[in-house]
Amino acid sequence: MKRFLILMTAVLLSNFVKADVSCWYYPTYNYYLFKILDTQTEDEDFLEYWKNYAGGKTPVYSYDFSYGIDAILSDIENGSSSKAVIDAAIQKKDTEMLDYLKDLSTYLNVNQDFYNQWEYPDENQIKEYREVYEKLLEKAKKYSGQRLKDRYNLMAMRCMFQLEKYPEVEKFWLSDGIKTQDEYCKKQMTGLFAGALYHQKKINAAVNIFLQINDIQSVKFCLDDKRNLDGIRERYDKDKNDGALVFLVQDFVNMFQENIDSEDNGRPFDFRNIDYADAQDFITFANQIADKKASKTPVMWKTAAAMLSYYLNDIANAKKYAEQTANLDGTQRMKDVARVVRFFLSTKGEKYSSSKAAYYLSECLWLDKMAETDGFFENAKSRIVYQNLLPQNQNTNFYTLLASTDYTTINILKLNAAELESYLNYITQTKKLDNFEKYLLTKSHVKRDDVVEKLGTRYLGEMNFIKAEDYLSQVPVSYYKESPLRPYMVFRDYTQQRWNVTQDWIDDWGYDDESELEENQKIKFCKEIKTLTEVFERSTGDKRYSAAMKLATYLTQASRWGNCWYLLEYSWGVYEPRSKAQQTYEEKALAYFDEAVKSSDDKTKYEALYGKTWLLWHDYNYYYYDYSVHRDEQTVTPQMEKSMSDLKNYWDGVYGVGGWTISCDCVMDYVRTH
Amino acid sequence: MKNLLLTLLLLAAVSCAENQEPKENSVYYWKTVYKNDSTENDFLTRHQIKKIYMRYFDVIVDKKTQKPKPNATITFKDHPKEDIEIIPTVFITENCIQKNLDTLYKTLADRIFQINKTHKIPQAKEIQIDCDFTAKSMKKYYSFLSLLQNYLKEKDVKLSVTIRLHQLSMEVPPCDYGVLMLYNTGNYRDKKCDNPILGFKDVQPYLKHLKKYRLKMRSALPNFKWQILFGKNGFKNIVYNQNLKDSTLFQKTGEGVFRVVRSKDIPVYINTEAFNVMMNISDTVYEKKADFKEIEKVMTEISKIKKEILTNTIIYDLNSNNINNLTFKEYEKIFNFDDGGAAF
Repeated sequence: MKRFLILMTAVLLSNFVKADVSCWYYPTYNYYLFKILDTQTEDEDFLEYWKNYAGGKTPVYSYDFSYGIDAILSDIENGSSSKAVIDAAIQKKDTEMLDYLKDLSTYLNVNQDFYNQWEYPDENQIKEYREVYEKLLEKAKKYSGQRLKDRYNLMAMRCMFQLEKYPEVEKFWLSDGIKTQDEYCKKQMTGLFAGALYHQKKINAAVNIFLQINDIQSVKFCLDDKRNLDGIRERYDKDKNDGALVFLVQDFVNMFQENIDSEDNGRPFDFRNIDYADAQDFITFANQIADKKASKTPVMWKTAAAMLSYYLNDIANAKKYAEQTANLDGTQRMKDVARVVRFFLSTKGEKYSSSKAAYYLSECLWLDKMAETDGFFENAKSRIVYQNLLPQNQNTNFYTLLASTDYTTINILKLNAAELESYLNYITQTKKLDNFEKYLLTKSHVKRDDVVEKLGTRYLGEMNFIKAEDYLSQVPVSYYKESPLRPYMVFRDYTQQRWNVTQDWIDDWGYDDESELEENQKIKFCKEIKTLTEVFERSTGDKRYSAAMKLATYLTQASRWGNCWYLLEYSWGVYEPRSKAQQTYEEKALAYFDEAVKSSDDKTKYEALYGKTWLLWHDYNYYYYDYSVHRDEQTVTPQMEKSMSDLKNYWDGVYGVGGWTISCDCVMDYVRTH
Repeated sequence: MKNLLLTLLLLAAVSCAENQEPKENSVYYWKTVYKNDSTENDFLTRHQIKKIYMRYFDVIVDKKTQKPKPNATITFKDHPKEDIEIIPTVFITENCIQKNLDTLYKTLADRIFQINKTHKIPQAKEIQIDCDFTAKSMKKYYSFLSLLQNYLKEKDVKLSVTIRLHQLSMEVPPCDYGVLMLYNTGNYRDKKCDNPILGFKDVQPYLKHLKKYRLKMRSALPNFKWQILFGKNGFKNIVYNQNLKDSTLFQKTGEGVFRVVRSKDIPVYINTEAFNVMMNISDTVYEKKADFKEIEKVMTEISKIKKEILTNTIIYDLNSNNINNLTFKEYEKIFNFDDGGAAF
């Protein structure tokens, strides 16, 4: 039973599957806003060339070449290679390519695990390896063909690099490498060129090239000792428009954000601590540069000052500096980032009002457009929404509307009936909405039917069956067609006694049954409960008790422990607390069981005693699985004590002391031992 | 007469001083790549550390040949700072000890010398061997150490070995001195264990052996942290560098306790084997850090028994990810716990 319950944790249901998943986790949305380096790269697929060569039939994996020359040679010799490139070369009788593949293999093989042999290489052995590189370099340089020119040039530069011939790498790049056509080879060669510059202490030039190819890790490596305020000052003093400053300033601001955000956890592996005093000094320094327009990019300095002021909780100055960025010069990217920061800071601490609609709308439309090609702007928007707009507008219809634009935060499932009714009015009276709200409505993932269905369900939870039926009737049955609720409604039956009948497990994630849903089970449930309640209230004797038994059965099924919990809720998990509606249903079911026990019919009496104990046992046992509350600390309530005692006495009377068995071994064991 | 007395006193003082090794702050370096790191260098400078016990390689059993072989040899991306003495350290797995070790002492030592030669690192004055030997493997291990020590003596190189707490009840190993490892003391597989990295209550039972343990020793103390993954059925694995602040993966449920809220397949490294372990929803990650209060308590108790082993303490380990787990002052307290004593 315990295992079963734990397996059930992931049952989540609703039309908003993603929304419900979010009840398990919430992203932090603390993306870097100060991202003035556009590091978007499209990685060249280095296998594409080989795929094309092999006729695109079989993907070639990089490790094809890492087996070394022996593997490739043996494949060539026995002609039974499974390696697509070699197969293709053999088939094409392409000796030029086979020759290149052997060289490539030799290159890759040279540096195989020789550092992990007992015989650690001495200088002579390392010299031998160098000779292999020399030979390959010579061959690569001599290659006179055109077809593999780029690849041999890359090999030449790699060999030179291994041989630490850095000036030669530089020279070769300028004479030959720069003419490379193949994008993958060219990027690799550019990196080698920059690396060669670095090794020749031409750090500035190396950094600029690494920046051009978006190799930020290498930039960090080159500027490792400059990633602080002194480093920034030093670079600035040498050259006010040094390209490296773009990285250093961005890194400074973002590392301070890491410092504020995560204390000692979750920091990047190359985290650099920026302390508060330095951040404060930087603001003064940056403002001076920006105000005097001493560099070509004052917008970068001013925006950095704004972000750091924000992190230092100096919101007034942060806003002021952000406003001052509006007409400052810089690259387009810097200006875009400044605009993002202006919007972010303008929303900080501000409750939404329609007076802001025009500005918010224009900025959101701009962010949407920019996000089409750059994820940074989508992330920026998320941060604005989740760090400012949502927390500052809680418990409003605007909040619900805004949250509904993102699958991960849809919160209408958290609203009660009154709140849902208010929200329904808010979104349906569109004439009263301002332009920003109308924009949000177009982005909302929650449609009118969603709200009405949830509203009906909430009234069902409040046992207001008339209003529930009224709202649920407004939703067509087809609404549930794509809903994960559908298979439950088709296959689960709330009239079965939960404690006697096992109903099929339904895998709502992968359920592929296409059975039609003929009616909305929630409405059917409403109607039957209404009818039974009338019978119960108007009848006496066994007829009344029989109705009570049915009501108890149905309500138990709809409660937290029933097979039909989806009538009231949209997700189920052991970690989810019992909802108010589930509690109401449970209490009402227990009251009906107490009535049904009065029946003169043995069967009804037995079922009522058993059903009640079963329900109480489950509620008690639930705490066992809630790891924050241990079973040992639970006290058996007098109500449960009595229920068990009644059930045990009844059974002992019918079957003789201890002679009984029941379908639920857990309850049986519990009743016997308490 | 007066002058003679003064001379004698001076000679006695000099002689005393000669018996004492200078105070040395030191660290272990246990990464597979040696690279200059500004944070680590800064740490070395600030704490005047002049000695690094650097893991050069491991010795494991080769699956194919079933013979001991070197593994995970350190790669030198940079040349170690010249003013710092490097003590090559080799970790030997216990199952290696079961193999034929007749020549291992020589191949191992020669390999170390060759590494230094190849990378132009000054020849070692000392080598350290680390092995989690047990009573079962002790005899064979000691015989290996003895051969190694004799071989090293010829070359004027000292031998030190690591001593785990449970090894204090055994005979002392043949070596110049031992390093008492005061970390990994608790059972990390037990989630109730408050601090598996170093807990006084885990150390205490072994201290009774310390007084009788006739070996010159230093101590090694931790500054690292562990992230330990537990599932429904208990311990699953130690995981590394998980971002526990990532609320899409973890939910903090207590101090150092994080519930997994989204499944993730993560790589785990055990010795030479790498495999993946699945973090499932509702698993728990416990973050256990080296706790200075425990360190201080352990040091205080040890000082009552053998304070000299705290004179030259080694921090495990030099790693920019771990440096901030203790404060500057705490490190200084560790390094200067017993200014009055001398280890040797």
